[in-house]
Amino acid sequence: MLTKNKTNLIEYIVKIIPMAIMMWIIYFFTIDPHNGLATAASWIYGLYLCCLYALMLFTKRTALYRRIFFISFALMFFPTFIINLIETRGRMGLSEADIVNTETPFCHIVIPITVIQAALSKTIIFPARLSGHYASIYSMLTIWLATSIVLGRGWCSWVCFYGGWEEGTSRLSKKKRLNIDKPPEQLRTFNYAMLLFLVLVSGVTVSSIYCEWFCPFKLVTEYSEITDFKSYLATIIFICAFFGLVVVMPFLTKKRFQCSIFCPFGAFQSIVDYISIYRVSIDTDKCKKCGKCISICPTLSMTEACYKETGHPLRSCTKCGECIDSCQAGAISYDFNHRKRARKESSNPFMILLSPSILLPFSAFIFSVIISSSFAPSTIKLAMMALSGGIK
Amino acid sequence: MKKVRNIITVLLAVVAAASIPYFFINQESIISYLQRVFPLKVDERYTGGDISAEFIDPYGDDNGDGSLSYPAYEQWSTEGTLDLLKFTIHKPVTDGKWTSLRVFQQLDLCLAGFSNPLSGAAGFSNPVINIYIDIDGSAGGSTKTAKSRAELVSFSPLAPWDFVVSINGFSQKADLSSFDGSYHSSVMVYSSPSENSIYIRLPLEKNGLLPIMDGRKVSYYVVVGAYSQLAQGNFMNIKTRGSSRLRPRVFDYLSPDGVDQHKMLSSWNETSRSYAELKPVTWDPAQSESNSIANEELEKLKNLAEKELQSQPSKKLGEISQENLKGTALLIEYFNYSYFKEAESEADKILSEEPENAIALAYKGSITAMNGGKASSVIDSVNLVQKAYEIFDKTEEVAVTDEEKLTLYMNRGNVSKSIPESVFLKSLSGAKDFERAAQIFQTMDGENSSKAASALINAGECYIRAGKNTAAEVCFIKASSISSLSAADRYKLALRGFIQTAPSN
Repeated sequence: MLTKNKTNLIEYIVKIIPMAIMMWIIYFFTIDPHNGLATAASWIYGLYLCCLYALMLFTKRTALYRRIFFISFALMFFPTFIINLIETRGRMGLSEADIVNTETPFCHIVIPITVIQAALSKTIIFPARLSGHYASIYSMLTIWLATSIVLGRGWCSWVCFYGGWEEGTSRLSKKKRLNIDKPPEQLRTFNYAMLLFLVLVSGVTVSSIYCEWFCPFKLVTEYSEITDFKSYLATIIFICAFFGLVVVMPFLTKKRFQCSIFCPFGAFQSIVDYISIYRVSIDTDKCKKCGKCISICPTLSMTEACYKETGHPLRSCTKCGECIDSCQAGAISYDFNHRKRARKESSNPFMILLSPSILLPFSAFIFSVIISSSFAPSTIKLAMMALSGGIK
Repeated sequence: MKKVRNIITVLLAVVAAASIPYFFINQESIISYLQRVFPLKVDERYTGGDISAEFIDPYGDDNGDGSLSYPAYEQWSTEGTLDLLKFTIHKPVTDGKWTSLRVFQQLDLCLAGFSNPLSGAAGFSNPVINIYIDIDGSAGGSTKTAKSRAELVSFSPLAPWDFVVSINGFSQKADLSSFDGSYHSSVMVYSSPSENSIYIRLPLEKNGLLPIMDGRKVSYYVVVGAYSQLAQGNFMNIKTRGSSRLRPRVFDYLSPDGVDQHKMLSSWNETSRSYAELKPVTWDPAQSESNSIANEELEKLKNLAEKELQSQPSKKLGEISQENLKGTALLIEYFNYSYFKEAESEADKILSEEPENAIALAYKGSITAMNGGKASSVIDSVNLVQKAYEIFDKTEEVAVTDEEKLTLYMNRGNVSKSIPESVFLKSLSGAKDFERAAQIFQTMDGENSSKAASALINAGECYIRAGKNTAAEVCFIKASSISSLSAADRYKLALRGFIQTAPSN
């Protein structure tokens, strides 16, 4: 038998393998080796990602470092995205000319609204490019499909470039000013109703209603130009939705309010989650029923029934790992999907590499690295240029 | 059983994790496969409707009756800004989305060149375009231009126009009016500089254009002039020495099949003081013919292309060595006959003596990128391709002569075309390189025009990879207007529908 210290040491050594692979992936997808300031920016971002993954891996505090990544990714995404828009079409606003030219980036939130129509009639009810564009329809669909198979609803905590806003605002306050830990069932399932409503109305009107009327993130991506009363009204809704759902409610409740209550893509991913490889499991025998996981869960995915009966959170779980980090009994862990009982961690330190607690953050972080690397280094470059007075 | 299931799950998870980077590296191939097995299209209510007809106008005929040339001012330096290449008619849309119009018909105009030197509000400033529409045959309408003494042309009495749309780049709204002045409205003008295109959407609800919805025969006259704010109808006055006062102020005109533009625009009559009479292009949905090339013609072109490929000479290494070639000539010979190792050592030899030899640098860049393709690890591959672009950048700094620039553009273009787009995003710059190369080829004599065509086809293929389909079409139309095409290029253009027949001999 190996002593505990020796086991820990071997475990540390074994973990160098995923770390090395991740460093290779970060280098490959992030580093721009021969391009002056862009090279420096890419190295800064690459090192930042390496540090985060190393901390995630060796401290076992996955949720904390994922959160740091997620918030910084959201903040770094928007400047570059907006600059890309300005470079492509001369402005951030979405005009009718851009729609005619199909210059509208295809965002993942549109997927549930368009995918049924696409499956039935092979047409997309959104004015985006089919391929060749940085946010084309096929490109976004393939990324979504790959991510869904691996992560399911985990998209919302590892890949989504909007979620970081709420994650950030929900962490601004130390205590909850509005407690919705045990919300009424209607509130918990509201986003499913929202999804159904949007799919039906979009199907009938052949239009992406969510983008036209409800998206809170228009304010930080591309707003429609105000040309008439309709666009004026829509803009008011966008502003209210952003401040209400993304700033105020997360700040008061310390929950990702828009993601868990409002976002149709989140509801869609909860359904898609059935095909994903991973989920979160609760060892009901080990659990001390303290209820801390309910309080900490940012997406209202924990209930008493989860740790008393079912042994796993609701399908709306985004696999962020907050409950895993906070559970002092160590009863919650990442697991493979469709397993009836919580998995017991192997005592063999070599087998740790094949455990979901290593494989899920590893797989999810690869998506995070690749998707964020298209934007974040450019934002760092911009910041460097701004600091050196290069931007006028 | 449970153990087997667990092993399969773990295996699946490991394979999934390992596959993610490969998924992103090969995303382009996955997308092109998906496009084949599950073809999608954007709903026509957003894009302007399915295409009902496309009329191609020859490239390089922006000289009116054959005697016009662009004004000499700097603002007119971009070539082809008055050269109409394609006129597209869409099917009417009855429930437009994300647009202020519910019922409309979209018309697209694609030009050979696009520029906005005078900052026109609609995104272009050189052309003024009038589209005259006849919806009722000879029943009613006008054979005179909308503004007298504007274009200096007249229209066929068999198809007098009923409506005219007057477009210029200085307003985002074009004028739509009826021949008798009873209806006047404005039409939104959209442009896409990256696609060399202007789009207009005709409102069909509240005017006499509604009959277009019936699917009836409609005729169009599209005339392009040089914009001048002060001129009559904005068609710039053309003054050449000894020029007739009846010479049309039209640089390009969408002539129907079998009609010579030069002849038609020269058909004014000094004696009777009558203007040149234009014939329209007509779209008759009842007699719509497939524009695609017949299978037997395509087969013929394919055979010719294969024959051409087989007749390509090949040389053995020894033969090249015996030719007493030296320096860049030897390097090019090695490269052209696919002796890349020898080409690389020759390039290195030249560069050790002349580090700034642009031709050797350009070939060195290509060979470095090729080595990237053969590298054992992906990381080496990417590094070598990046290095190749560094070499190309250096080449750009030192290339002075046309030959050096051409070598750079062709080498860099070919590399950009062959590397994965999802990793390097170089298709657009590749297209630009090929276009620049085509321009240089066109200034040369003899066989080089067929090389220009090849470069244009490559540019078009790069544009398609970058999702710029209209820009690609512009290249294909330009290429198809070149008479001395190789069989392979003719076949490529025929496959895309830009050439209808095989050469007779």
